Amino acid sequence: MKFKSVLLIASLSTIMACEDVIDLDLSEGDEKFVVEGEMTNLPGPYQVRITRTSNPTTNEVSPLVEDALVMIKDDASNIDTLNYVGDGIYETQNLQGVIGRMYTLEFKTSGGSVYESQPQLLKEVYEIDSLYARENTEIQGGDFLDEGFYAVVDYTEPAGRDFYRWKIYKNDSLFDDAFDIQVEDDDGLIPNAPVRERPLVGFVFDVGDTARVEIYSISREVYDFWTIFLDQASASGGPFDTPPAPIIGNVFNVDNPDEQVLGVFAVSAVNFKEVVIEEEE
Amino acid sequence: MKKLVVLTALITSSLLAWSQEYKLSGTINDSESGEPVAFVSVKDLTSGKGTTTDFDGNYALNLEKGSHDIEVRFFGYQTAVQSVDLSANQELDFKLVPEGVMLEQVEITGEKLDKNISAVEMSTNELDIEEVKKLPAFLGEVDVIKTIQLLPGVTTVGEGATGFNVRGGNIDQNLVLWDNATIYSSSHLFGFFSIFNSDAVDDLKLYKGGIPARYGGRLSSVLDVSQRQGNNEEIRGSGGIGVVSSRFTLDGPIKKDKATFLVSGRRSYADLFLRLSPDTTLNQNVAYFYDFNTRLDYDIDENDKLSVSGYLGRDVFRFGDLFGFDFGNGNVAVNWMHSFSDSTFLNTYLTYNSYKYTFSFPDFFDWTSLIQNYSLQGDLKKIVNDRHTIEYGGQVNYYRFRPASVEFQGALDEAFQDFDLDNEFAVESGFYFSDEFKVNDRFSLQAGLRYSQFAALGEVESVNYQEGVPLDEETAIDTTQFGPGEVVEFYHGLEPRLGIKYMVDSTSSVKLSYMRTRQHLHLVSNTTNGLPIDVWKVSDEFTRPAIADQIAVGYFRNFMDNMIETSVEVYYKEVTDILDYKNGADLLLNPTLETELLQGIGRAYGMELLVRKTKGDLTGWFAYTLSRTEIKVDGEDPSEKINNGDWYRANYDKPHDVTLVGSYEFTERFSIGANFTYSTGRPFTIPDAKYQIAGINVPNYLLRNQDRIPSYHRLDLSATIKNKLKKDRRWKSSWAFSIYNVYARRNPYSISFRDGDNGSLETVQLSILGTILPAVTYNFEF
Repeated sequence: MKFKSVLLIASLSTIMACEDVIDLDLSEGDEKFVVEGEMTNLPGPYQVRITRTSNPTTNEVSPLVEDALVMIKDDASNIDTLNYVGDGIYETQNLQGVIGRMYTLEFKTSGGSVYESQPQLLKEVYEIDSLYARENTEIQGGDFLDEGFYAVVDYTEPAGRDFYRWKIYKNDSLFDDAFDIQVEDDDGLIPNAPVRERPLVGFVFDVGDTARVEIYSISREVYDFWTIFLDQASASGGPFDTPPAPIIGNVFNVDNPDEQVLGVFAVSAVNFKEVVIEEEE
Repeated sequence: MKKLVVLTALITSSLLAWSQEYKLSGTINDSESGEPVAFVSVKDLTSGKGTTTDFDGNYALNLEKGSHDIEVRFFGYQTAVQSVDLSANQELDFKLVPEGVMLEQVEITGEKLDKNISAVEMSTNELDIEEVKKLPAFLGEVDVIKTIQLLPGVTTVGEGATGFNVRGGNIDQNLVLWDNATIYSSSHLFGFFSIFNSDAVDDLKLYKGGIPARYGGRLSSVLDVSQRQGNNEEIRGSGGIGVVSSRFTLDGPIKKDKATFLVSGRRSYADLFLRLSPDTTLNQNVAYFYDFNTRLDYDIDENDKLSVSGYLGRDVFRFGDLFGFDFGNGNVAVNWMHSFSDSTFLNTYLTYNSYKYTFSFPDFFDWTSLIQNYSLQGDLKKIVNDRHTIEYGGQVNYYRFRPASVEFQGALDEAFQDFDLDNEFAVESGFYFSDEFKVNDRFSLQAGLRYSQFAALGEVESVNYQEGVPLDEETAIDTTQFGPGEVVEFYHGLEPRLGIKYMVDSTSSVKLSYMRTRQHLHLVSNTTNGLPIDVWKVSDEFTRPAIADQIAVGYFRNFMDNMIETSVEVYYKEVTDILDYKNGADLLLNPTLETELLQGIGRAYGMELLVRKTKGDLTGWFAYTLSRTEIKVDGEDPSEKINNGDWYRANYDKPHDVTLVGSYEFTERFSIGANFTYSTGRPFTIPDAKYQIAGINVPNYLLRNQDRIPSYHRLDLSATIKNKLKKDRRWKSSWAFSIYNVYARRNPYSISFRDGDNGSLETVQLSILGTILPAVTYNFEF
């Protein structure tokens, strides 16, 4: 995506292109379930939100699914039934994720259909060796970044095919725009070679802020979901867009696997570090 | 009966003539450019005998001993008469003076006036660069690619799009030749301009169907662009200063009547404007492109001619010292023309083309990609007799594609492995034979057969996947190592080509053509417009070559002494194994690209109507195309289907396409041009629902290309004013004014959806060039 914006600058498009917001009336297709669930190895409760799709061109907000029976099962036959807490959100009771176990989300709707996620392995994640702050002027190519301080990390990525998600907080509030969702794979990284002084660009801090950086292990399905989701959320209709396509997550109707279920159930191990941004000497 | 009498008379007269005649022969050249003029009528006024010059301006007449008045006449030139007293074989050359001092190189050069109806070939369009120059040019840049998009059957996905689509073909299905060297990317600035510097172009020919057996390697079309040859009279210069670029050309004889040269250069200077910007992120940037062309022609002797042409072009972008991006083509073509006799000619080409791009982030990484194509080709043409002209020959191509090589630097070097995607090597060859057979005065046919073969070669490490499941990095089992030059996969097949012409009467004909074409190279690109970083891929054990069959039928009729050419053609085309991509495919730097590729079938059909006026003060054409292009990708696994395996419309499917192109010469010094174009909007994908995740509202897409963006239409105007000629001065100059998008229509390029306020999606219509764009160019020659 960053790459695409570079291309857009390079082409004439940005100089002459113009956008008009237009009215378009579209009808809605079959209503689909939307699942947004995440559990980790940190203490719960974990949340799963279930909603439905709505008309694409009206203001209608996503209808909430408030009467589903929601469970998370592991491969050691433990079952945690989630309680509905409002806004489409269901919360676990006692469950805490354990590294190495497989977890499956299951829910049954009032209509009687049963939906299940693919079993997700709670996979270990590396430690962030150190977290510190750097002003943009001290970062290579930092002239092109917004002025301010950036979180910089050192870590060592282990061998094996791994997928990750970063979550970055400023004073306990998560950067949560579409552009802030950062997923990556370990393609091309030398296994066990230390990554040093990697700035997390896109997240600007001021002196006095507390920066919290979390690293999550995610599965390939979750990684693929976010990659395509973000691609579509940031599509501008420009010349370098890829064709929009249905996104396949990791939750399916048990009886009808062809039914489209949106969203994803993510199971992650988490490590984190915090630092208070200080004026440099 | 009448015919028989005429025939007998002809035979008798030629027999009589044989015993008593001398040969008068010579060459007819343009007095201005020094270039030979073909199809000039040469007539002996004394005896009434006549002939016309061939492509090289040569003529020969057998005449009786004694004195003759030879009249040389050709449209657009002053008629010349010369007396000659024959007592032996004699040579007599003419230099034809163009009519009017500033008359443009005539509309039609070297072609029969009624070629539109009388030639077997159909589905072709030819344009002389002088004709292109009269039309409105986008920002003053005369652009042959933009002009061919105004022809029937040629479309584009939108403004600034790379390449062009011919009769429902993807942009990679066009064989773009520049002096016979294959061009892999014909765009500058991501498609806003083409690499063809108009000063270095002579003419161009586009084959949309009935492609001769001589051409192979691409499914849909051949765009054959010839570079201009240096003139043989004197050193001349020409050039222009425009808002986007400036160009300068120098050409002339190196040795009179023996060798000529042409050098031409062009550079854009958008970055000079960027520097004026107060915005610091813009004014540190550099963005320009340049082209350099050269051509040398050498007449070795009467029967041998040699030409060498070269091209080098680059787009250069620099973002301060952070980042640089360069891309472009470089090619060299050597052409040796040999005539064994008046009726047997051999053309041999040796060409090299490279396309490369480089990204460099100093202290981060350097990323380069390179395509290399070496080609040797020989075409032999033999006029056997009045009825048969045969052509045969062959071509061998050697390809080396280096999709990407990334070298990390600085801190990244410690964490990232440098990597090289496997180079791809291949040899492609094609051999053909064709016969143009004039069955009788009405019937002619051209039957050709091409045999092509393709071998993907090592050195390569090929991944083996589990059988019966979709290719995926997780279904990879192991790898097989192929050594250098070892054959990884081999494909071959026949490509029949057929053209039939039937003359209904002297002004109209019916034609039919069929062609099968095979394409072994695929452009891997999943964006709306092509990108300069798209990679080309060879057919291998995973990706099969694409094959197309096209049949076309047309009716051709000329009016008013060939002044107006009309044609209506219908075509139907089927393609197998065209490339598409899995949903959400990741094509960038992917070492196992095969896991993202799908192959489907395509079909395209349509009707093209063309009315063209080629002579007179008013010239131009009206074209209407009605067409449909659809693709179907129906693999076994759900991940290998697009739109559930049903037919869907291609991105460039535009059912109605109308263009009106004209230029009018009021006086020798003042002319205007206009073009109007209308087309149905291209398909786009509408969401069937929206949903919310992570607090972000996003559209959900189910089926591709189910709706259309609003239609596209645009009017462009141009005016050319030639400055008064000063006596005894060679300096000629003119001003070219152009206005693109005269009524400033915000032509939609796309419709997309983004998170609006209050839980809704905002529908956004994007226009790439939604405004009026005037430009002025100062052109000169001396």
